Amino acid sequence: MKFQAIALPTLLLVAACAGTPDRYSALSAVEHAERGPRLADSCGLWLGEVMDAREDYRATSDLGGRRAHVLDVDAGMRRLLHGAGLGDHGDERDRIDIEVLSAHGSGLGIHIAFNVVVRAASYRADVSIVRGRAVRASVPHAIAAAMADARDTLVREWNLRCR
Amino acid sequence: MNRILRALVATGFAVLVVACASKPHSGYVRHQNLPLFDRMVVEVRLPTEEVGVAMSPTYAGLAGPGLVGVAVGMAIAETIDGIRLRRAERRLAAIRDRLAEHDYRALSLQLVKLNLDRGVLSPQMEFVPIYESQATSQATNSLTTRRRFLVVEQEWYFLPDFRLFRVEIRARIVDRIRRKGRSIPHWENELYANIIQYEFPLPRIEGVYFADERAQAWSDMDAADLDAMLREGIAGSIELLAYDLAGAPDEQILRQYRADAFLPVPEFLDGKIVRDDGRRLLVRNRDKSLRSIPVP
Repeated sequence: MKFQAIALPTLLLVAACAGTPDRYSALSAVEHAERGPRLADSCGLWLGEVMDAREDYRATSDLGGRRAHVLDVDAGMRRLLHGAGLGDHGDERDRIDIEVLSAHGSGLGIHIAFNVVVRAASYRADVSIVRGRAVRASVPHAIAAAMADARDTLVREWNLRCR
Repeated sequence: MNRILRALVATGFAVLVVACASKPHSGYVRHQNLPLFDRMVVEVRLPTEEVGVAMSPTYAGLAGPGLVGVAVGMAIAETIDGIRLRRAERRLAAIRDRLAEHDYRALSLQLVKLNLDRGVLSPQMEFVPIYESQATSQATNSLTTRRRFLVVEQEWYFLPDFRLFRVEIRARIVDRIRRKGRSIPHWENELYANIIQYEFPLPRIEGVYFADERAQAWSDMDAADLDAMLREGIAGSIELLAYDLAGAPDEQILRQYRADAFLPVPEFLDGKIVRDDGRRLLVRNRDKSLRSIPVP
């Protein structure tokens, strides 16, 4: 019992000290851009502007004792959407502009839940707000998975509209 | 024998007197003692980006005997936390989607600036927004040492069973000092500390028994109603903070409060109703914290 009383706090201390308090995650080279649903060929949509519309204070998340700074969400989203088959140029009426409104996480134990909120506006002025969510044990994986989830939702929505 | 007994009683009495007379360094302190400060920094802490669920990590002491047992216990705790977090995220999904376009932290900061009475606290107030909890600042060793400043930490969340939505303010006026060579380097000497909760219980709905169903009932609400509820909670709790900091002027006990008479689950917080405007009750709990609840 005495051993356990010493071992548990020691383990907790080691676990607390092992992780750096601040985690910077740049998403410019987000992985698995080619996975997930692809845009139907008939859609012909292309990507105009991708903006990081977050206020400065929305770029950092409080994970309960740790911080996560998410950088380059615009570059990450551009890469993900190109991976899903969205083109670079096309008819002005098929242009899609993207704004990342928020990318934030919350933590419980070692798990991190990440939410990404994206606004997509088309030339025809129809605007949709979608969200990507993911729960993972590591900060970069949680963010990348949440971004990919947002991308998948957008692509599914556009595919429905293109039919 | 008699003399020893008398000495013991006298010592006990003296200890009791000293204990009662000494000023507490934490917890609620009577607001009438607050002086008017020349200049005051207000740390406005807003760690919540969106509506959340109040969850604390599972107790790691599910451990069995020995080092392996401890490791297994921690692994079990982490697995349970992962499941709880996924479940909470799933339940929150639709509610968050409806509120995605709003920045409630900006609203909260704006209302704190507007509502805190400069005539009560200090004519010169400087507001410092911080978008993380005190616990995170402490863990990352980024607390600033200051004297005589107000910390206002506001959060909005559902309870894990989704029976209740709450906007909570934890406010303190403290001296924060740094102690060299201590395991906890920052020490806060509290002049004032209180918790203010503005609550919205889910009304009883026939056939709704489980947390998933209750979360669904919340998300079935109109987006404008959800938004109005959150805005009312933020504004109402800040207003109550200003009222409490001002020394709760003209506060009178109207009647006793019995929580289990109003809420679907029995709660063991009892207190006194100090305001009843026909729509909401203001309850001063036994620990002097404030709670605003709708009239049943």
